[in-house]
Amino acid sequence: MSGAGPALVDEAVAVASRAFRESGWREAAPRQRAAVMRRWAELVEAHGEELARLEAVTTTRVIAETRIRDVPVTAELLRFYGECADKFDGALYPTAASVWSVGVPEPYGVVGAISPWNVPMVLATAKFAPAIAAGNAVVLKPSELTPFTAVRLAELAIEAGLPPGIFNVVVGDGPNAGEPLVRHPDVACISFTGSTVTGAGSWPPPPRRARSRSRSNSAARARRSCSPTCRTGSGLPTWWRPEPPATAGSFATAAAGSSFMSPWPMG
Amino acid sequence: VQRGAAAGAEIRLGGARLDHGGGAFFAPTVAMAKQDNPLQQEEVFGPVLSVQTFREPEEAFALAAHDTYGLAAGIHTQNISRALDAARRIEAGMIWINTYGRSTDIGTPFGGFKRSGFGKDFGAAAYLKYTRLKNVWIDLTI
Repeated sequence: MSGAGPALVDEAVAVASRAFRESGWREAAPRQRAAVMRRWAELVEAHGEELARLEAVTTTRVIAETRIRDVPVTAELLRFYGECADKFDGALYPTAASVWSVGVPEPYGVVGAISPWNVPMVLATAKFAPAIAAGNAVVLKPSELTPFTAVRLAELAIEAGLPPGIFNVVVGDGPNAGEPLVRHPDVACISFTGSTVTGAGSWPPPPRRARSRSRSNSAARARRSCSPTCRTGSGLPTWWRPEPPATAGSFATAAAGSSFMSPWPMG
Repeated sequence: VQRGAAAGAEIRLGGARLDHGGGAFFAPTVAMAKQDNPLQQEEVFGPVLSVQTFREPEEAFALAAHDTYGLAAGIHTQNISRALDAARRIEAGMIWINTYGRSTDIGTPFGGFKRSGFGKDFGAAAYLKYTRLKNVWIDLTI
């Protein structure tokens, strides 16, 4: 599957950025965010057979495993990270009595997530669920080989009550969608699982647009401080395939569009 | 597997595609391969087990000190001191003692060392990676 290019990535990041600022997701009480994550998990279970079949038909996972492992784990990841939303407090640091100095954990803003083809639904959820529960907005680029369940999960998110624009899926390959995503100046944190060549060889990429030195440095630091995990291996082609499929474009764009149910006019 | 065999690996089982009238099937494969063989140096996304032997633990530690990768390691022994010593010495993100490949509980962090990655997925450790810490000062004398 391919389809998304830099323009669609730009649109997704703009939608995510605006949703982060204006949807109220970040400002909501953590228990409210947890409640949405629980409803999302319940919807995953209610659509469990559908998701298990979709994952089995469109990836290398076998139906026996998607039924008993991938679907239940996906639901539990949504619950687990929903529960995290109100379990980590900040700090009151030791200072002179004339001041209070407090530490406040905050979401980054827009998190870019790139997930692999080998256990697609579970490994995508392991990235977007904690990011969203913490109050971030996410632009997920699943492997173009296996994007289907991610798109379905985004539809279920809206049904669960996640504000439109907080979770966005762009369906495209590495050069056309992944690279613009990681280079985007409005993406504050990148989480990547894929090949060592992609992860270590070109990470972090230079900023796409000219920026002041201090801002680009801080962007690079922020990226490094988040959690790219490049699994061992020389051949996990998250960002590459020898022959792009011929049929993908219209579906990819339409499917991605379905997770862009933004209340705000774009452009 | 072909590259491994060409570089001297000894294929003890399998080693070839299986014909099931379509699809992409590969036979379960066991290969004896030395440390510098591609089957030891690269991850194979298929049912391939690459084997080396050792006589003393120190030999095993030397083999486990992979130049490039450090995702996970497994140790099988009934000697608890030896197991914990090995867990401390092997540079890998996950150590399995008397089991292998066990990462089924979502509260546990998953991720490798060296070029197998940095950061973790799963567990509370991953949640905290998606937050950043802001330090706010309040002057109480005003």
